[in-house]
Amino acid sequence: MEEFVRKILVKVGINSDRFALEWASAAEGPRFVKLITDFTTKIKSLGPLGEPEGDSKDELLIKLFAARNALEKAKLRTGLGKLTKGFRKEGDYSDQIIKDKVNEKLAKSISAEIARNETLLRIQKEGPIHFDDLTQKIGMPRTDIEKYVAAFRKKGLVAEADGQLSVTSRKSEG
Amino acid sequence: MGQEFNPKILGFMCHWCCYAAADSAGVARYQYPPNVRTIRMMCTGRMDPLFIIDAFCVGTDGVFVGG
Repeated sequence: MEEFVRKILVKVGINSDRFALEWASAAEGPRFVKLITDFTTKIKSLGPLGEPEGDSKDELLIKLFAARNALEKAKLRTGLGKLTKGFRKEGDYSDQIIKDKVNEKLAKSISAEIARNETLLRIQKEGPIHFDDLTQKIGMPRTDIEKYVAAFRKKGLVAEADGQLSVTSRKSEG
Repeated sequence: MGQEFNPKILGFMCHWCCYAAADSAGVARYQYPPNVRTIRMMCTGRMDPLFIIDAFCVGTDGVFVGG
């Protein structure tokens, strides 16, 4: 899960050091204190969220919410579930193996799902919006975005008029 | 800014491990930064990627998961 989350954070444009997964047993008070102190110093040196990342706060938030919506859907969740099943079967949990597998099996669907949700989110929030502006803002290949928009139109979520895309109703994607 | 930056950190902690460690650190009067807002969960196995992204959505600067 750690690698999966880091992958998403990097995709969104957040330094993955902002997330830490550590272990301290009930008897390890001093270790816990050290972990928390180190982590706090690290975050302090990184600065507030969104500041060192370069993007404007709104842009970052749109991407974050896109990632959030993507994570609510079954596609990524089942992907992660299936992947962990594979680790259990082979009994190999080394960091390198996990990293490789996540890269191999999930990286593509992570970026696709985030972009797909970002497309819908941007049309909802910024629409009516021109297709070219949309592709430029999302920064994914035009063909991909075309595919997502076509799917949304088929579902009746998005309408096109004079090259401008907008939402048809407030109904969220099922 | 002028003031020192005080990050908001969200800590998800396992009731049986890290939370107890935090407790014992408190009892033993160790000093540690007050920036962590703790959420106790019964097991870190309950952790979901969505929680972490959600935390960043609402404006935390860092997420610490302690098992």
